Amino acid sequence: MERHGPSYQYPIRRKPSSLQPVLPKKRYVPPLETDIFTEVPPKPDIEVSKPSRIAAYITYVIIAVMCVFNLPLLHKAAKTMAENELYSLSSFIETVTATYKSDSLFGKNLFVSINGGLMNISGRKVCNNVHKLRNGMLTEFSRAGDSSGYAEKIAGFGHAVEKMGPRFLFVQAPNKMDINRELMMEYDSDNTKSRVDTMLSTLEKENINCLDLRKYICVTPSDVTENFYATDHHWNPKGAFIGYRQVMKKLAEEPGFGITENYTDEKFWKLNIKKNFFLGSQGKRTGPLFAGVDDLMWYTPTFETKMERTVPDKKDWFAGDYSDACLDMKYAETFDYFGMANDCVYYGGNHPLMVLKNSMAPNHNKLIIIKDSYANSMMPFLHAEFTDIEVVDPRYYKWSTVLEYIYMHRSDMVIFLQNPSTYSPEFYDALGEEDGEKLRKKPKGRNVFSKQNLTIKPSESKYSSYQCEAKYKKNHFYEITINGLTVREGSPEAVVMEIYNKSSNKTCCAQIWKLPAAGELKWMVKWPDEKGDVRLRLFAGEDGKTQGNSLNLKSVVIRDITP
Amino acid sequence: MLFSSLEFLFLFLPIVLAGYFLPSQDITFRNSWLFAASLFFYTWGEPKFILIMIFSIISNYAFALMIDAQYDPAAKKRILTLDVAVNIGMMFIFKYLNFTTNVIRGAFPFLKNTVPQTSIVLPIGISFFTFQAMSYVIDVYRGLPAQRNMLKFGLYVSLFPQLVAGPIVRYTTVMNEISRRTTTRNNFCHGILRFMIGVNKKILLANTFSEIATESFGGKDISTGFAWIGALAYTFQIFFDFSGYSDMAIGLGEIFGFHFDENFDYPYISLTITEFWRRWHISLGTWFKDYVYFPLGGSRVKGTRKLIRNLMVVWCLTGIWHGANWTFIMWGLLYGVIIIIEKLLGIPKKIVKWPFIFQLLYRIFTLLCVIAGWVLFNSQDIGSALIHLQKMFMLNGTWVDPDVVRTVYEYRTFWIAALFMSVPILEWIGERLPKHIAEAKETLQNILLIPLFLASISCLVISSHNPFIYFNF
Repeated sequence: MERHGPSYQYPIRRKPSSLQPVLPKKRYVPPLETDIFTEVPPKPDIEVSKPSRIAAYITYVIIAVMCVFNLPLLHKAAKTMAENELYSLSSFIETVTATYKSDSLFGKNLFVSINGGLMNISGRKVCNNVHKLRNGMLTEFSRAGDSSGYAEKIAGFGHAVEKMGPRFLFVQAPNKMDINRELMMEYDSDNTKSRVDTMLSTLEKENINCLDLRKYICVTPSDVTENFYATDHHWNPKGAFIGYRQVMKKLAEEPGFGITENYTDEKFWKLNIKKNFFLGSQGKRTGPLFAGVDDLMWYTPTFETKMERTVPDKKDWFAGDYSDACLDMKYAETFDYFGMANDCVYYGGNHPLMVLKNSMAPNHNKLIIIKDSYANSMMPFLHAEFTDIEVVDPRYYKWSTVLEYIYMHRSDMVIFLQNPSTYSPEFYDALGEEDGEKLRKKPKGRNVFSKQNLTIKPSESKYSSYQCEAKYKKNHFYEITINGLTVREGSPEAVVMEIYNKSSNKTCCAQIWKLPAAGELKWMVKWPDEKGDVRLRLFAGEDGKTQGNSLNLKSVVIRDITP
Repeated sequence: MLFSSLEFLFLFLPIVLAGYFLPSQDITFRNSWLFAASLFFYTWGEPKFILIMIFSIISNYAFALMIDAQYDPAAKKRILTLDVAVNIGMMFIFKYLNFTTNVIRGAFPFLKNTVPQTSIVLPIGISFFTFQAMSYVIDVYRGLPAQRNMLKFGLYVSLFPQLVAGPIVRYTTVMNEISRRTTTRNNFCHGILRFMIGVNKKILLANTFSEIATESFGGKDISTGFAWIGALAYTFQIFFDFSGYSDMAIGLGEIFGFHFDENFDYPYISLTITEFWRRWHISLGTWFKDYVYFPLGGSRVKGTRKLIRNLMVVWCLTGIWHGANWTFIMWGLLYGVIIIIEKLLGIPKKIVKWPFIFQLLYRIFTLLCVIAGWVLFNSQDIGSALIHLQKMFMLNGTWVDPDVVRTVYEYRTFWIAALFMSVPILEWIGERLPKHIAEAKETLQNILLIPLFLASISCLVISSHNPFIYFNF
């Protein structure tokens, strides 16, 4: 039967009956509700079994532990607020929320792993926007559209390079998704293959010399399993080795180039493997429980080597044998799934610019390689083959456009190596759109600075330097030539030259030469377009290690070589 | 602040619990602590809106005292009318003014210069706390003694477990517990377990289905199959989201010694729409029944027209309570029409005697109405809802596309879990097992909550997808 009236019960206070004498109205003060409602029975206690109680307490402990260990995040949030001068309550709320969502959250990696496990158990093929292929490898699908616009940019760049003199080769690095449908679920869609096909067909139409490595590295699904990391988008060193062989074959076929293939046989290389050692960039987003972990691999040569590498932006140098110059072994020795990008074992990862030298290399041609991270594991092989390689990563190199770099540094060949995941405007915008014809010849230029028999005297300072004072013009190109550099006092291992903005206390660009320096030292540089007090200075040693060092320089000449 | 957020779980909640369970057992301290925590909780969403809540607390507290102090029924009524006007006025300004100006400007273009376009931000949970406060004042008008302690009343209105997503707690439900409550070990543990159930429902199920629903409802050229998948996904999403929040609220209440009434009772197993509304958002249904339907005369009015009028008023209000949009009004009216038909034909009473096959058919019809209702509820406007419904009923488009296969296959475990959790199968099994096995099953279920809770946190940690569907309420 339908019940009328309120669905709760409480004692109704009657209003005074009209039959009763009318009394003066008095404020009614009800007794305490505890007195009135004592008749309302308390809600019964729900019986909870002992194991369930333990489960509840465990949860409580988890929450409490997470609270205590994450309290430093409040301090971090406060620091962020102070740095950004945000003092409102809204800013506090926003900052704390963002900090708790950040990578600083205590136990974040554990929860990433749990999430990967959850997705795995529940049969999902997607975790944190990373897809699992049929062979268990991870990838990200590309939904981006047409790549012909990018191809036209590369073609324009290639033509400009060729007008300047060097030969140009576009090397298309492969991607797991090149096999396309075979490794994907029926319902998945990915545009990688069509984007690469469009890229290559457009470049071929534009008469650009191309090498499609997909044909050699990922023809069948088993090729993909063999030649790629499972938890990373990169090829593994095995894939890179195949790529190197094809590049060398292609270069050897270049008429009149005179390149020989020397170390393309596997017998020259030893493959080192550390089992279950690392998680790639995609694996770090899903944790080891979603698709497992990867073996870390790197090749070492079986022949004698003498190599050198400088990293100008870090004012750093490495010299010795292959392992000293090409490998950063801390990445092969430190085990940390989430905190270490172990595949950076080659050259320590990406750098805006690297200068590689090999005095024992059989090929005496100079290469400039324009590359993304795929090249990192292929370059050591090329490093063994060529005496001079300069490596520019357009995503990070900001000292000039890439075309200007090629103008300044010249080479016999420019190799442009890219994988489809970096088809993006940031990559191409850095290439530059200068007229190759205009940059074809480097003018003799005029001297803006010339000094003979210079001495940088010893000093107690860690940063003692000589300033090359002259009137430098913004965006002009300068060729700095140092002759007869000898160490007078101290034992510096290298010398550094830099363009430094004193006003902003920032190094604009730098060069480092390992000592002893034979013959003349050259640095071509574009003067930065920066406001403030910008200076060119030569340190008597490495940055911060100039104490007590003294150098003799026979001559320092700086010429303006702006075309 | 959302319950399903890291800052709530790992900052706010543990600190509130630590403060609440300090050795001091003084109820005034505990109430003050909870009140301050609740205000802070509300401030987290948007600091300036705290003023609206404080205004609501003070005004309703004062109106209740004024009513309580009066013997003159007419004066009481005048004060109550004023209170209702203040509450409804506040809701109108913050919730319905934008909609009203839009409607006026759309219907009468010549008034565009006269009626300005407003864009007032809706304070979260305004419908919940306004309805709670209003029900209290109405109860005082009906004879309930007014609460003289402002702290206690403020705590009732602002109590954070039920503040932003319900249930709508009656003052009579918690009035004793506000003044005198104890937290037993059993209640505390049961509260935590219940809270975990809510968190798991919200994050593991509702958020997952939200991904599918968003994709389907946001898609342009979707197939019939994917339109259905989207509608079903939203059907699960809203149930697990809303009931998950209610579970969290009830659980948190238990931790602090409060006992809120249940808000959901497996609504998707309902035989009729009437039954569905006895099982869905029970606190809202009973609120409208007690404070709108019965005062209008309920079903004991003379004549069918009055009954229809009463029901349509209630369902129109129910619809618009959920949000200021024609979709919500139409959604409410849709239920109003079906419930009127059911009432006039006596279906809820007669259906128990129907043959099984007819019961089954009517159950399917009920579910279809609910699903179609959710399409309306989740659409941006009536036009989008009609397009989605057209696609569902194969009025254009194709049957199946890869998205159907993907969302069914990829989320298969979640579909199965959702189906399993939407029906009282665990209870059904538990009732049929020997007592000791049933207890073991219950214990196992509770222990399993821990890994599921960790899995929920893991979803929170890596995902930015954590929708809050009550922003319209």
